[in-house]
Amino acid sequence: MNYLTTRIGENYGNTSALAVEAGLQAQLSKELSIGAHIYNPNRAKVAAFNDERIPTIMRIGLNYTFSEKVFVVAETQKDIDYPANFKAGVEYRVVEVLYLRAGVSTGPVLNTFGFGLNLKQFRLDIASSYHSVLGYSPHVSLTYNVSK
Amino acid sequence: MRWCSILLLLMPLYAIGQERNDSDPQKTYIIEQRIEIIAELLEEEDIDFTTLFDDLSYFYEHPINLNGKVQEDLEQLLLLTDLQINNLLSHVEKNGRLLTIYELQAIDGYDLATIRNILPFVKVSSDIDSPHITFKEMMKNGKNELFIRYSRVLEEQEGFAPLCEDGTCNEDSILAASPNKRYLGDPTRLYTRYRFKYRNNVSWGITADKDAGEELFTGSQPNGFDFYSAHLFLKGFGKVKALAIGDYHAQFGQGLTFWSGLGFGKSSYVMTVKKNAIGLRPYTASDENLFMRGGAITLGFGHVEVTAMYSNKKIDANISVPDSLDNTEGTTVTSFQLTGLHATPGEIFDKDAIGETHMGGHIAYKKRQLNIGATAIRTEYDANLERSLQEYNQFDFNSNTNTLLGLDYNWVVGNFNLFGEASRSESGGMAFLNGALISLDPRLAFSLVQRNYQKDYQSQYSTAFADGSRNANEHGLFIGMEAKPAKNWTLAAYFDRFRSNWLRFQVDAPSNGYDGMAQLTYRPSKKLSMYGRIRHRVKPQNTTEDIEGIDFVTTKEQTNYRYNITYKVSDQVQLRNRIEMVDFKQGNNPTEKGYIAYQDVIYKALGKPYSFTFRYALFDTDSYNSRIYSYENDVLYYFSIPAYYFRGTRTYLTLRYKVVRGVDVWLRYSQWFYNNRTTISSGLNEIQGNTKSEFRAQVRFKF
Repeated sequence: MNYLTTRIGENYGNTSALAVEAGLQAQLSKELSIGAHIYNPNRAKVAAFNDERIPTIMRIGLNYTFSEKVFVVAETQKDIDYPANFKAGVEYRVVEVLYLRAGVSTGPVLNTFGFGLNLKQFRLDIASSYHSVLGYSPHVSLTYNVSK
Repeated sequence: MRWCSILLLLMPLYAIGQERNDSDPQKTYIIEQRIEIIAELLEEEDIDFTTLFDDLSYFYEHPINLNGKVQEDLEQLLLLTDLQINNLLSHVEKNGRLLTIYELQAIDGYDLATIRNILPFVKVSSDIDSPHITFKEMMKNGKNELFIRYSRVLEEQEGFAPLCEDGTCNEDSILAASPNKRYLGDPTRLYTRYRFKYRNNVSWGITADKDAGEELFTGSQPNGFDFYSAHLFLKGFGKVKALAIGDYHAQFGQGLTFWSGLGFGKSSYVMTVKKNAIGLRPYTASDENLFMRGGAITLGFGHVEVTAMYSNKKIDANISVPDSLDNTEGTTVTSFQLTGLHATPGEIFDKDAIGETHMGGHIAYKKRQLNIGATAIRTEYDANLERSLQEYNQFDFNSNTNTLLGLDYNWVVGNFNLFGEASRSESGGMAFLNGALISLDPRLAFSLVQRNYQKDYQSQYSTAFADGSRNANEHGLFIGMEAKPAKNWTLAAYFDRFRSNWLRFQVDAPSNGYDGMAQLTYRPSKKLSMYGRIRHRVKPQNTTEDIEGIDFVTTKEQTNYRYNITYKVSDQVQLRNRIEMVDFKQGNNPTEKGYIAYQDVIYKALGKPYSFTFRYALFDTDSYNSRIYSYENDVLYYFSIPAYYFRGTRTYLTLRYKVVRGVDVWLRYSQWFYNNRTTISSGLNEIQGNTKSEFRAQVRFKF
């Protein structure tokens, strides 16, 4: 459950809405699992003007594990207001600590690359997407796992 | 895993390792199956697959002994990836010679489908045959082959029709006024080819070709045929790895700097994005412009191989002759002619108008896991090239000389195969290609190709990986995947995106686009195979609307849906069905739709002297934009992938009959029928009517 609030200065004031999200995941076989995720099925309203609402998004994806080292994911994502987007990606564990990842998406058309390092309690992930007009958009995440 | 998901072979296992009989009816079937799949993906009307057919045919008759020095042969076979070849060689090195062909299953990267694919072309034998060639042996075991092919369109085409229907006018005066109104010759096409071959080591031959409308032994063709080609080719004589005299092909690196002849690119065989350059090879096909004529040699010194080549031939071009005789540097070329047709006085005038010279070579350092090469080619024309260029192609080649320099590499490291080439033309334009074939799991492989071809990179003979038809003004990234998630199922997919920083033909702005494909194949048994495929392409093109000022760029969106099924109903009869639909939409124009469905019947019986293939197809497309390409079975060595468009039916029957041992005859009749046309084609090829039929006959003598 998300409580979302937007505030715009200069006398515009603020508004808020409550959006719900839920997901399901099932292991169909040793190798194949499926997941579904719905964001904001309650179509939370932000403002009465233009009937502005929080986007409702549904995602369904598959994960296929080829071996301990390799898995492939594919997903389709539909925002109620925009054309559907398809995404696919692969993760390959080169050695114990190093993961390589790559993927594509169709709406917008993006290529994505990244790698992850698994160092005991720390996990470092670096990734970037590439758009032919907007260029590279890098992401970094650092995770510290307390109980390991 | 090149081509590795090709339909299962129907080749029985017991035949493996035995010398094949020439008249084996399975041979053409197996080879055609492979070519058909490749051909279909290319979506072009006329492609010369003769060389490819020759290669496969040779290896079928002389299977590669996997215990021998096989690396080059296996690369030429095009059915295995470098990773697989490397794994095989490592396996033999580590464990000694293979004892049986079944040992392949124990080698990394060899799944059943791959093994089935290569089985007809390989053997396992303990005696390593080193070719010891004496002239006597060569004449005794060499093979001679003579082909004669005749084709003709049965309906009368405009260019062959009488100019005066009612006889009241004077034909001569009409022709004097406009000499290009009629073809000079008759509508027959004739092709003959003679070739001698001794194993893979010696080949010589001559090819002669006459296209429709060209004269034969008369008028403009006093020498008989319009096109002749001859070659002498030697391979594997000690330090002389290859020697070519006459007509030949030269192919280096990834085809970015220099590659004459056919090069495969993007297809649903996502692992075929890498090129394996053979270096020199004989030329036996009938394309009249794109080959080398002269001499070339490859010498091997340990790990180093040096190729030197020289070619000088006349090519067709539109020329403008200067008014003044004083100007000796006279000939000016306004465009090249690549059709090879010489059927009107205008075309005859353009024939062999200018000389084209290539000289240069390639030097390679070859280790099993690492190849590094360098190419240098100098090209000269003996005329001034002065094409009138537009804004979009102002960076194209337009002088009389070009020098290309290239560096290429191919490196197998672990389960990665990295490859690439960098190249520079005389204009200063650069081009780069880098790629990788990655085998992450026996059931999962990826391919990557990144390219960056600058707008002023100029090359006449390059066929490197690209979305467009030329290796210039394109930046792109291709990602392909081939997965075998379950037994009998294969999923192949690719995603390719590309960008042009400069204008293109009919695209008046920098632009970008993408091309995505997914194909799921289900092959539960040797008798049944089916696949479904979706391909979606988005490309830029100028608006078709009539607007003032500069045309703005719209997107062309094309989606193809295909279902294909092949099944054997008995030992003799194989059936094939296909349904394909296409949606084409440009900008705000309405969607144009296309549809085709067909039934193929293929009859081939072991032990019967005859076999045939039959097709009945029904097609209905709104426009030429929504056309659908489909491969057609034809007489041996002839390949066509016509575009089906408008509304109508297509039928053909190809019959093969083995008269006696060594003499085979093929007959083919095909017909287009359009129910919403009253004329077909245009210009000199126009037919008054709604049917177009073609008859083809071919005979082969083997002795």
